[in-house]
Amino acid sequence: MRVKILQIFFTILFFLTGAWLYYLQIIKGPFYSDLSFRNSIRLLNISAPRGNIYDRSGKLIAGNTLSFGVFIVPQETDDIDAEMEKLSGILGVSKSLLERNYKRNKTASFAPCELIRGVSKKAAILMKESRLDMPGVLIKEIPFRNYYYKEAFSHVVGYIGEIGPLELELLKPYGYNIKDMIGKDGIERFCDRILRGKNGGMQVQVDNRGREVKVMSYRKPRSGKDVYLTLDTGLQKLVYNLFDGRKGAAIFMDPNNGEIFSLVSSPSYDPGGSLADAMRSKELPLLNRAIMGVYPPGSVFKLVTSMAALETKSIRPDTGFVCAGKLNIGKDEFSCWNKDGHGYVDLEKAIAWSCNVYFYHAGLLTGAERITEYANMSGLGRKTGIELFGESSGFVPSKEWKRQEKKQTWYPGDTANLSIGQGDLMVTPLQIAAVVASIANGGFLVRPHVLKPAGGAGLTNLNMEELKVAKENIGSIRRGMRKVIENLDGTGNRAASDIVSISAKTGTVQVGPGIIPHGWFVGFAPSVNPKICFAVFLENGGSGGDAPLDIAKSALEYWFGRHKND
Amino acid sequence: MIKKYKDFDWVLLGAASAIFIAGLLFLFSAIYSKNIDFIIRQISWFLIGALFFIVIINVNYRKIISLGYVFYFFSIILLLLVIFFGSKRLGAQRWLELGYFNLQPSEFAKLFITLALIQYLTERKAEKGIKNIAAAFFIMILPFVLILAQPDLGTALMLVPVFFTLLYIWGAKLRHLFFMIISGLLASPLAWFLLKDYQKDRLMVFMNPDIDPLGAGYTIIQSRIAIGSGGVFGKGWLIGTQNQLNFLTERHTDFIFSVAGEEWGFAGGVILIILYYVLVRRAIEIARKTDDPCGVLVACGMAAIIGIQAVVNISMTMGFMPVVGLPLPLVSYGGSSLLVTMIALGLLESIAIHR
Repeated sequence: MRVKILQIFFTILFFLTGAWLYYLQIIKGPFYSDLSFRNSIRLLNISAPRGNIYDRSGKLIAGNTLSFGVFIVPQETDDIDAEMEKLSGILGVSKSLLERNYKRNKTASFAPCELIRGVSKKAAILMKESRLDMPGVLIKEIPFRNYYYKEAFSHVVGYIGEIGPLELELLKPYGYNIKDMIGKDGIERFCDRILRGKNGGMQVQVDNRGREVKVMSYRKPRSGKDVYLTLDTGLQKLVYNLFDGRKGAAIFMDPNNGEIFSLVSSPSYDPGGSLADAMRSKELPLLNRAIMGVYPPGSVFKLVTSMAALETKSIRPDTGFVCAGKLNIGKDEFSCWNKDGHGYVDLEKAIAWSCNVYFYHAGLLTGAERITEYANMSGLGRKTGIELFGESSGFVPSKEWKRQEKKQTWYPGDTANLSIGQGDLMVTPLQIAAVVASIANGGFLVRPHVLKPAGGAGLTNLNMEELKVAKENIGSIRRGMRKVIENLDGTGNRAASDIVSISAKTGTVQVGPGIIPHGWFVGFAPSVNPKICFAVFLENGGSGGDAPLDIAKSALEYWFGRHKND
Repeated sequence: MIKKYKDFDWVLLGAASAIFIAGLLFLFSAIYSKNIDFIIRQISWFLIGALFFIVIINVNYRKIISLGYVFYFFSIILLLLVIFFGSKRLGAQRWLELGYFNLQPSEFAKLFITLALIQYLTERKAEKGIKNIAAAFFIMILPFVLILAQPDLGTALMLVPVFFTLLYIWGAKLRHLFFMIISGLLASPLAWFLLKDYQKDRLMVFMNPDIDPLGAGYTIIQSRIAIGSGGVFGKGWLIGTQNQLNFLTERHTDFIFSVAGEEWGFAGGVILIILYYVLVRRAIEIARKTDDPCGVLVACGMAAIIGIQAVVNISMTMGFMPVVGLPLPLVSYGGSSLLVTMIALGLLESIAIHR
């Protein structure tokens, strides 16, 4: 009897075991199949090589070079601490740096964790040789973005960095993933989706320690496309060097189509180096002064005032005023920079000498509304639309604005200030370059650009808007600008060159008593059929006819010296 | 001669052989691309076991039982030897190194103590009072403590159900058995303090494997994934990913059922369970057919040793029971266990023949 009960007991026991097996394998089978699959299958990202960035003649500006990185697989190391100690000795970097990187980059114990990159080939070979003593240490080749001209191109080319959490959220629908390197500024950012290509991937079967057993599937990464810029490497380098670290910006551009040959903002930063220092610097090297910096245009604005005055027929080119060094408007006295006065001045002389009193008269005759109108027409107060991020609009004041925003009346004195580019008027150097281009090309507002269209030719007029200005009025202004250089007493006479004829306008912006003023030197060359226009700006760089002029002149002589046979 | 073997239980031998051959396939897969030595050793042990089997079926089991105390004394000596000279593996001192082979005395002790208990109970078949139960308890408790000290929790715990099975079949009063079970349960919280830390971990992990997925819980989680992912027909011999990619630990010994479950699926697993059931069922059949109370005790004792080990081992790989180190009879790699199981089978056949 008891034996029978024992038999029943075992029957139940075996039945339960079988039932549990049924539950585990049949009912929960799909669930565990999935777990088992994920256990042994890893998806590995293969980064696509990023497209190169070239200058207008095909010189490589930004590209990829292979560098060596040291990785560690946490679960395959016996003593991480000892290995870091050893690595620190071989690589000549501090152990604490390796530890910091380890903490930051560690994801899973099977995943290789980057300790350091940019290791020299010699160190890499040394490490490969001693790898047997260091289980879990890997040397991998990783693509490394190389900026061949370091600081010179950074404000156009930009830089890349690991995708941030906000960017990731925004860009996820476009196939961006965590840890992706993306363009953070400049063309790297603007053209990121062209440059980045499409990452490939691998499905790898791994064993329990994460070691690759076999490749289940492989998708080849698709390289990014290359991007060509309108920049000229030689000129860009030269202009950057001419700034010699001084604060300012310069644009050299083809006035006929808006192709920028050189866009420099100084000081600059090394896009391949540590950006932390650049971010901390009081000099704000990350700021692209050419497109983000807003400054009063000073006398450079007199070109716009002239246009407004001529077009509205408030003056004629031969209209003359007497400059006595100052002008009383209402209760206030407005002075010319030349305290002795310029005497009898017509438009061309007024531009050549940059006579304030002439433009007070011209401006008052024209009226603030019309000056504002022509300023807006010339592209001031709005973005030029260049393919770079963070462009400022600048600001063009108006009677309306002063009444509504500042709750103040617009006085004739405000008109006088506006006429000579002082007061609330704010422009970016790039906007000024566009204004100069429209004078150089006979009345077309071009959209400045740094990207060369893939097709190349035939796009000359694509981004141009014809301004409603009379050719002869532009001619008068151009003659004035020629005299700035040509006349011995012109404010820019020092720029007179044997190599090329230059037309220009100087500007000096007073920023406060005892502070060195900002200087502008803007213009185009050659004076007839201009091939290049420019705007050079130096923050606290003194008179526009001094340092800014020197930069522009050297650059132009280089350019036309090189293009003599063109 | 032929007449002598007419009662030989071929079904029992057939089921056992089928389990052993399937076990070799599992073992081959578990150590695949590693050391073929394991297979050779397992087969060597099988041949030694076969020798014992043949000898035992030709000896009357009663003679063997009458030597029960001798075996008992022998196993106490072995267990003491382990404590003083044993080799340590996986944190436990369980093995005696004898040249090419390693011996696991606790496996033999399990069998020998059962034999000694049977001898005692057979000699006291007239008086079934509390005094005899207490004496039987003391026979068991000494080796139990020695085995627990190694520590070999699984084997030690195996003694408990075997002990109760024997008392029950012997005819102990139910109230005495209940009294023992209840006092055992009441004392079990005290036992908690006697457990080693890793044993406590294992119990905690059994309750919730996720508390330590990379440590103590790893084995059980991976084992469950392996078996579960086997599905109906398994992933196929030698191609179970959990097995071949090393996610399973201890898979050639205690966790060999994970390999079977993953590669042969529910179909293979359930056939294996049925084979064990047939084995146990035949053992009980032998007990029912014999008139000798001693034969009944031996048959039921052997049925309990094999049956409970199989159920506990399979359940533990499925996460249905806590992980206690117990081999799967006839399948797990390990000579001592294989030899002991074959001796048990020999005893069963001896009862079948000599009734």
